[in-house]
Amino acid sequence: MNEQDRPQSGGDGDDIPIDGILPPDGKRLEPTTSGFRPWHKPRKQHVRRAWACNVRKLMESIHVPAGSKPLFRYLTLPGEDMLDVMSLKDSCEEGGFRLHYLGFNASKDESPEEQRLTLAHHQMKNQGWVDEHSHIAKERLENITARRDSIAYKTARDHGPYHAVNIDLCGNIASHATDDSRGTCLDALLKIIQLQTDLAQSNWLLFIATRVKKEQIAEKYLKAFVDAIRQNAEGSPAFAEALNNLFTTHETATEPALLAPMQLPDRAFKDLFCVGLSKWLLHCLQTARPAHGLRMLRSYYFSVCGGEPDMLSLVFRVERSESRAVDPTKIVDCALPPPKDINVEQMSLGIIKKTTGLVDLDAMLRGDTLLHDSLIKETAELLKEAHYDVTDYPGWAYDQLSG
Amino acid sequence: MPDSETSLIDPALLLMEEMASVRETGDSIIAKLSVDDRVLARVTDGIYRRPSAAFRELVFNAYDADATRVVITTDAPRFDRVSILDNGSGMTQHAVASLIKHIGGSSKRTYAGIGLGTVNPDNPDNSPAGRPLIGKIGIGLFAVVHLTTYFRIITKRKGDDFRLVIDVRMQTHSEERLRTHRPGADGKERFDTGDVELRYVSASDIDAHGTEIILMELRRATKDMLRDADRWKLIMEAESEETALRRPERPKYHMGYCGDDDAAQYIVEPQVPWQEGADPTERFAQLCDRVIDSKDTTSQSTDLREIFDQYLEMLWRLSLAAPLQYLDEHPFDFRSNSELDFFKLSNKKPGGVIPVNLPSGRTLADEFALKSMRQDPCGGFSVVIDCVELRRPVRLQSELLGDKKRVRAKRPMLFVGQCESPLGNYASDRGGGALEFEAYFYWNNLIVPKQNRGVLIRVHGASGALYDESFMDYKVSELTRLRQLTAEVFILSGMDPALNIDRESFNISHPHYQYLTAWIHRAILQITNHLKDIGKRGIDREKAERKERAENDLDRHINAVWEMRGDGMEGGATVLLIPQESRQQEIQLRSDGNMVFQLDPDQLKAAKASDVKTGIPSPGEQAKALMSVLAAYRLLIEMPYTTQQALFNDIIEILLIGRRG
Repeated sequence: MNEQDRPQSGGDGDDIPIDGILPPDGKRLEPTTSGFRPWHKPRKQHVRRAWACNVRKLMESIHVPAGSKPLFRYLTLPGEDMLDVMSLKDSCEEGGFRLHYLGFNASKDESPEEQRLTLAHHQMKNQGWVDEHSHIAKERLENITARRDSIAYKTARDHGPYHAVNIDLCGNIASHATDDSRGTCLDALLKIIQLQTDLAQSNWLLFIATRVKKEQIAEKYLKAFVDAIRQNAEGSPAFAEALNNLFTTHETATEPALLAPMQLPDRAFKDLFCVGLSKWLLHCLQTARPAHGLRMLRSYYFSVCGGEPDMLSLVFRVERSESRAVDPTKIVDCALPPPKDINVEQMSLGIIKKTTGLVDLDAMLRGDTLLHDSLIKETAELLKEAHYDVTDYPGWAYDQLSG
Repeated sequence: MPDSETSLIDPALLLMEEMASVRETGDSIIAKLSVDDRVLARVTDGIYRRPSAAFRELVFNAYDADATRVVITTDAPRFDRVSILDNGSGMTQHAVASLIKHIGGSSKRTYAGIGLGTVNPDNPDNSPAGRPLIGKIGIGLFAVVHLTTYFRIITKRKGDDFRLVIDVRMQTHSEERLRTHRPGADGKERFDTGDVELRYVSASDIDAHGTEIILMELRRATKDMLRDADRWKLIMEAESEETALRRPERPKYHMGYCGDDDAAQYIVEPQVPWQEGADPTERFAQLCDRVIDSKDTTSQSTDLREIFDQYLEMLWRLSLAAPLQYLDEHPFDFRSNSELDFFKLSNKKPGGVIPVNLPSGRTLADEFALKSMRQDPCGGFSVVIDCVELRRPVRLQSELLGDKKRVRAKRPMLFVGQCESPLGNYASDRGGGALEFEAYFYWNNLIVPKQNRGVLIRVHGASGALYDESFMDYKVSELTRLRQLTAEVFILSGMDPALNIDRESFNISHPHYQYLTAWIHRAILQITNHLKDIGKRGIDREKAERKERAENDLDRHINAVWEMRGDGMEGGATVLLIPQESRQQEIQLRSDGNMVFQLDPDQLKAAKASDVKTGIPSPGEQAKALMSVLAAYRLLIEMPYTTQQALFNDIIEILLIGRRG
C-alpha cells in the first residue's frame, strides 16, 4: 500500500486482516529494458546449435506410430526471451515434431523479466510447431526436490516424460542450497532423473550448463564426485589409465588430483568436475531398473567474464538398456539377437574421452571468423524475434569476443 | 495527450492518434480506462456470483471473435495466475482504443462494430465469420474484475506485423467517486474505472492471430474459492479433532490443496478423476464417467458438490455453458438404434405426445428438419483448460439409471419439440421480435448428476443460467417426475432481449420469457400425462398378466390331477357356471359332456370377482377347480345332479365368505 493511501486513523474491526480483501495497489509498471546480456553472446548460440542438432538426431531415432502427431517433450529453465526454445524451431519442423515444453522460471510478477517472459511464452504458443499446452511454471527448479508431494514435481510429472531436459544454469549445479527449506539443483536433477527413468520409454537428452568455480561447489558434492571417479579408477585399469592421461595434460596425476581437488589449477579442476559429475550421473542411472547408461557427447566450455574458463556446457544422451524379448530355447531361426547390456566401462571411458576433447568455445570463435559471423547473424535473428533492437548487436558481439 | 474530459472529439480517436505516434518509437502509453455511463461504471466493477462466470465470459468473447480454440491455463492448486489464449481474429487498434475509452460501448450488435472488426459487415448480429454473437454490450471482458484487478491483454490480427500489449489495472468501485464526478465540457459523462498501459511489440509471425488475457495477482477471495480453501480448512480441522461431531467429507476428486500462496508442497495431494497420461479429450470423458460411477445407489443421484472440489465443479459448469460439442452425440443426432423411445411434443392444446418411429438411418434432426445443429461457420469450437478438453457433459443414456423395479417404463424417453411463436407477427416494441426454438426433454428414472436436472436454455449455443430445476417455476406438484427430467432449449431466434446482462437470469416479464415458460409448462404437462398413462397401462397389464398366470397354474394342476386320477379323458371335464333358470342351456351343456352349475345373479357376480392385486383366481374359478378335482377322484360318480349342485353351492358359499359387500 502506498504511503498516501494509508488511512489516517484506524476504524473498527481491526482484527479482520485487510490485506486479503484489498486488491494490490496500482503501482506503475517499469518500462522494459533491452540491453544485451551474457547469454546473447555468439558462443551461446553455438551451444544452442548443439542442442538443436542433438534434438534433431534424437528425433530420428524416436518411433512414431503411423498417423500420430508426435510431440517432442522438453523440460527447460528458459530465460526471459526463451531463446533456447525458439532455437529448436528448425529441428522440430524438419523432424515433424511439435514441441511441448515445460519451463521453470520464478521471475517475480510485474518485473521486466516477467513481462518479457509472458510475451515470449505467448508468441511461442502461437507458433504452429509449438504445442499449445506448453507451460511455464512460476517455480524454482529446486522446488521439485521437496518430497514427493511437491507441486513442482507434480507439474513436471504431468508434462513428462521428456525427450530432452535442459538444466541451463548461471550458477554451479553442485552448489549449496539457497535456503534450508529448499533442495539444491543437484537434488532436483536426481528427482528429474528418477521421473525420467520411471516414465521414459526411450533414450533422452540431458543438457547441463554449469559454472565450475571452486568456491561455489558444496563440499559433499565434490566428495561424491571424487568418490565416483576413485571407485571407477580402482575397478577399471583402462579408466585409471585414461584418467591419468587426462590429468597429465594438466601436469598433475590422478592421486594428488583426487586427494586435493581444490588445489588444482582451474582448467584441471574443470575437467575433474566434468568427469566427477558425469560419473556420478552414470552411477545414479545404473541403479535404475532397467538400467540406464550415460553417453557424453561433444561438449563445451568457456569463460563467463574473461580469464580462466569457468563454464561447462555438457551434452549427454541417456540410454535405456534394450529390453527385447528373446527365445531362450533358440528354436526360432529368425529371432533377433539378445539385448545388449549397458556397457558402463565403455561409457566411463567415453566420459574421459569427451572431457579431454571439451571444446574451448572462446578460442574456437577467435580462430574461426566465418563461424563467428554466422553465429552473430543467427543470434541477431533470434534477438529480433525477441523484440530487441539489433542495430548495435554485431558491434557488441565483436567487443565481447575481444574482451 | 489532450484531456479527454474537455475534448469534443471521441476520446477513442484521440487515443488512436497517440497509439500511432508511439508505434514507431516503442514507447508505451499510459491512459485511463473509461466508460460513458454511470451504470456501466458500476457494472464493470463486477456483477457475477462465481469465478466461473469470468472464465465463461472470456470463452464467450473468444467465440464471438471467431476463435476455434481456447486454451486456459491456471497454476492449480495455487491459482495465482490464469491465462486465456484464443486463436480468434484478435482486436484491431481501433477496437482496443474503443475498449479502453468506451467500455460497454456496444460495438457488438451495431454498425459501429463493422468499423472495429467485431461484427459481420452484412449482419451486425453475427461475428465476422458469421457466428451469431453471444455478447452484446461489451462488458464480458470485465467479468475478470471478479478474479483480479490486474490483467494483461496481448492481441494480434492476421496480417499485422505487431502485437498490442495492454496492461489494465481496474479501480474498486465507489459510489462516492461517482457522486463527485462532473460531466465534461461536451456535457457527456465519462467515468474512469482503471489505468491502462499500452505498447506495441513487433511480430514476424504475420499470419498469427488471436488474443491472450493473462490474469495476474488473483484476489485472495478468488484464490480461496478456486482452491476450495474454506472446505479444506474445515475438513482438516475436523480430521485433527478426534471428538469432532460433524466430519465434513473430503471430495472424492480434487486438484489438491496447498494452503498458502508460496507453498511448494501439497497439504493434500490431488486426486484427479482422469488417468495420468490420458489425452485432453479422454480426461474429460473420464471425469464424466466418474460422475456416473459415483451415484451411490439406484435411487441416489450424484451431487457434484460432494464428489468434486470447486475447481472441478467449475469445469463442469463451464462445459455446460460454452457452445461446445457434446461429449457423445447431439441428442438430435440420435437414430432408430439409439435404444430410447422417441416422442414428438405437440404445440396444440390439448395435444399429447406422439410416438416417433424413426426410419432406419434417419436422425431426429432429419425427421423433423431441426435447425439448431447448423454447422459452425468457423469449423468448430473447443475449450481446453489445464489439458482437459471440455465437452458438453450431457449423456442421455440408453438404460435406466435408477431402480428398474420401481418404474413401469422399460427404457428412457426423449421428447422433441419445435416451435415458432407468433410473437414475430406483432410490432417488436410489443412482442419483442421473433421467437423460435427447438427443445428436447429426456426422461430417465434417475438423472445423473443432480445438477443436470431441469431445463437449460441455450441462446446462440451458450447458457449462463445452466439448469433451472424448477422448470421455470412449474407450479404443479410433480416432484418425482420433474426430478427425472433433463431438458435443453435451443433458441433459434429471440430470447436475447430477455437475457439479463449477467447472462445468468432472465427478465421474467419479457414476452419471450413468458411465451417460452408457457410452452415448457405445456410440454411438461404432456410428458407427465404420458408418464402417468404409461404407469396406468402398466398397472392394467400387470393385473391381467397376474390373473392369466394364476389361471394357467390352476389349469395345469387340474390337468395333472386328471392325468393321475382321471379316467383317461385328458384334461378332465369342463366345468361351467351359468345363471339360474337357464334350464334349456343346462341340459344342452350337460349333453355336450360339461359339468354345469347354476348360481343366482348376485352369487355369479361375486364368484367372478378376482383379486386384482394378488392375481388369486376368483371364487368361481376355485370352486370349478374343486369340482373338477372331486370328479377326477371319482367322488361325484352316481351323485345326482341336484346333490352336485348343492355341494357346489356349499363350496362357493365358503369361498365367498368375507367377499360380499
